[in-house]
Amino acid sequence: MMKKICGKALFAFVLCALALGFAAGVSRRAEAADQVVRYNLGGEPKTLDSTLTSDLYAGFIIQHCFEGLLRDRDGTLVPGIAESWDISEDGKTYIFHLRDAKWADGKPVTANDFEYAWKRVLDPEVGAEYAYIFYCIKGGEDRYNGNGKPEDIGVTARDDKTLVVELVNPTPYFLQLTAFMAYMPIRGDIVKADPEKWALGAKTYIGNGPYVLKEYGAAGVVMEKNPNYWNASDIKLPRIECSFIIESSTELAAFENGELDILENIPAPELPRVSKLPGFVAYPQITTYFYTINTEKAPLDDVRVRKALALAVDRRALVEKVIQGADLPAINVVAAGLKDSQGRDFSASAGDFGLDATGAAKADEARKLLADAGFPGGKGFPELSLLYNTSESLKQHAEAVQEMWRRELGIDVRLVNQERQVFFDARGSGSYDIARGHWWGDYADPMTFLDMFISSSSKNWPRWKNSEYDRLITLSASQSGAARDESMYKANALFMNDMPIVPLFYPVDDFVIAPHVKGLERTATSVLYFGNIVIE
Amino acid sequence: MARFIADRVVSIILTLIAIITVTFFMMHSVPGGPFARDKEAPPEVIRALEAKYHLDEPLYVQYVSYIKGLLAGDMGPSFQKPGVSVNDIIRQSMPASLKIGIVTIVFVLLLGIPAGILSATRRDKPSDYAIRFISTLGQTIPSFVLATLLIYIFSTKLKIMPTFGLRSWKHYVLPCAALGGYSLSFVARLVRSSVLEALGQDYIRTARAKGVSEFQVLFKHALRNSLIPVVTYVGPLVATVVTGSFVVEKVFAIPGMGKFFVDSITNRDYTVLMGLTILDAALLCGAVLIVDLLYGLIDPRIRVDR
Repeated sequence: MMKKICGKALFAFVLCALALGFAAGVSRRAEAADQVVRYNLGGEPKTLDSTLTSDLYAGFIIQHCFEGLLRDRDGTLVPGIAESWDISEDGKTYIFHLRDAKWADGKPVTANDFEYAWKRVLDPEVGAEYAYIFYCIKGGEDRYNGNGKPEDIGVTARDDKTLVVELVNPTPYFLQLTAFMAYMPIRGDIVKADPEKWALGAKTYIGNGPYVLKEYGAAGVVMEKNPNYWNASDIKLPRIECSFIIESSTELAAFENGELDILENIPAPELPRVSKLPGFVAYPQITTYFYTINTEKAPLDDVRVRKALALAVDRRALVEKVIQGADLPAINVVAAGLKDSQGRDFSASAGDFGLDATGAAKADEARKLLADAGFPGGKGFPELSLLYNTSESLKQHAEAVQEMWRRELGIDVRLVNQERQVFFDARGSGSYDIARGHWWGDYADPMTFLDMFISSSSKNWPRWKNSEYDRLITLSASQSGAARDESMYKANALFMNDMPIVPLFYPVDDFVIAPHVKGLERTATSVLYFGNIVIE
Repeated sequence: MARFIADRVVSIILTLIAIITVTFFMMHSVPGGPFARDKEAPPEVIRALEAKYHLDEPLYVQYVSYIKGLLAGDMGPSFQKPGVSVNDIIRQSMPASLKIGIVTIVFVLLLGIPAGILSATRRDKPSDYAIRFISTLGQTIPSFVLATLLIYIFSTKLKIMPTFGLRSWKHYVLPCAALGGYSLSFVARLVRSSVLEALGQDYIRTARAKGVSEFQVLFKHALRNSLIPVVTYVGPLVATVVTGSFVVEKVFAIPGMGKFFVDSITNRDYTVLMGLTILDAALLCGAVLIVDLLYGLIDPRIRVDR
């Protein structure tokens, strides 16, 4: 009898405990009236210090908490802290006139704050990763390499309201750079008080932008409207809540459960379904996916072999059947959407370099080139490896291209995946045959792609060297307008006709915006801006 | 007793020194450095960063200075998060893992032990079959599948549970279920078999013959002796669970320590990897010591000072 009672009591207990575990009400949902956007950054920023950071997660927060001399609003440059500026005739000297603006703690923003910030980036002791983006400033590169003094850097606060910048060459995209995160002003008094930790807490993280940091922890970031911002009346959204969800399937579930207002990281297998959701948008972004070919290794040192590889890839099939997204087939290393000085799309005007403009393969031509190189039907072609860093989507791309090369050229390529840090080392040191490459532009100018392939560049993964190319890139730096365009087009043609890379596709920046979110903006370099959002 | 503890503490210290040394040199021998990235920095930047973190010094010098820092309680700076020390990372991320871990352990014990007893006392009855079926299932489903499944059912479809974070009690339900699913099933099966074994012993027959009530037979005599394997299992489980689970923390975006274990390896964040390994090893050694001491309390036949 007792045994029975025990058993029943236990069974009831187990049931109760289970019920307790699963009993739940309705999950937290934002009411439409709440003027707040809940957004997933996709990962935790390494640091919010604009000098040290190089990640896009931090970029989003810095763009909201700080303001540079200019600001990118929806792809258009508008005056930021600089009210106006004068450019010298030779295009090498910029004089910025600053407006009356305040830091979040009420102190005035001065030209010294810019001078301090930019010189800090170039201080070799600080170890900033984006220092190279300041090499266009006189004395910048020397200072960073330890050969120059801080006072020789061409940035000077003439007075509190005037900043004078001297450039090495006329740099047509320099104004764009002043809106970039590494170019933000910072407060010397705050940084000097605690150079290591000032950007870790909301109290010391004082910015001059539209928002202030309210909370910053391992779970996320909360930003609120900055009443001391010079253009505070222009900010419509009072509060932004950011989380750090890494798993894209969780982000999708959270979005569909009403816990997030924007879905940015769409899991690849869900793309066909998600792209039909209301609020789905796809913007071009200045990024190119390609395979880099090690031009120092036989038989890849033969341009005919490289061209055969590039011609045999059916980019259209890759985009439509494998990726199944809105991505565009790429036939140039320079991403689509970048303009020359006449306003023409650079990669569209540059030509197709023998590739099919629609992205289809040119198999017959590819086979002929391979035969000319001594490998008819792929006979005698050594087994090469295609290297990529471990990732499900990169594996899919590689498998598709492997099959295209096997089918069209009769050659076998071995797929090799490596852990990320090992992969970067292997690609950087040339220990590969063909490897995954992709590049996203730091600024909206073709040069952000072109200058990575000069002989001395550490990003010249194909190890491709051409003195004429180097000369044209150097020459273009001192040119402007149509002359600069001509040098860049010539250099691009030299590169693409030698095909040290196999262009694959231009990925699009796709996301889903909840229908109640109106007024989302996006910069030319794909950073989202929330200041103009209204929740309806 | 005191002698036993002192001996064990010495052996724990020796174990930790061995773990620190082996991990340190293994970690540095793995190819790829902490500053390699997709947008490769120029060599001069890498050199400046390596100098900043003393990675340009010979390995033995780095080892000696690491040990010196460790003795002073300083686990060094993270190479990936400027201005953040490993001590900071542990301080900030441990609470979340600890909370999830403790709730999971309580959930595992509160459900697992009763379910095991129930299954044993109702052997070959429908409730026994049901518990055995569920616990077999629970042991075979990997936690990432369970986590994704739970989110799909309770968040995406039923919309009654939040998907990420740790903001209210409801946020604990799915991660704890995903984290504890395997252990719960394991404990239930363990308790079932050890209770069944105990119930077949002579001393139980004696107790029953003496007219001891079934309740006392079960809870005083049988259960106490069946807990030894459970304690053996739960001790190390506590150490594992409170240091966080990479999978569960990643899926539910919980700001715990679990993700740092994997991230620190993929990012070659040497100091973070060392710090977490040492912490995990120390907790595990401590848990094993406590388990050994508990044996003596649970089963008087075991004397720990022998």
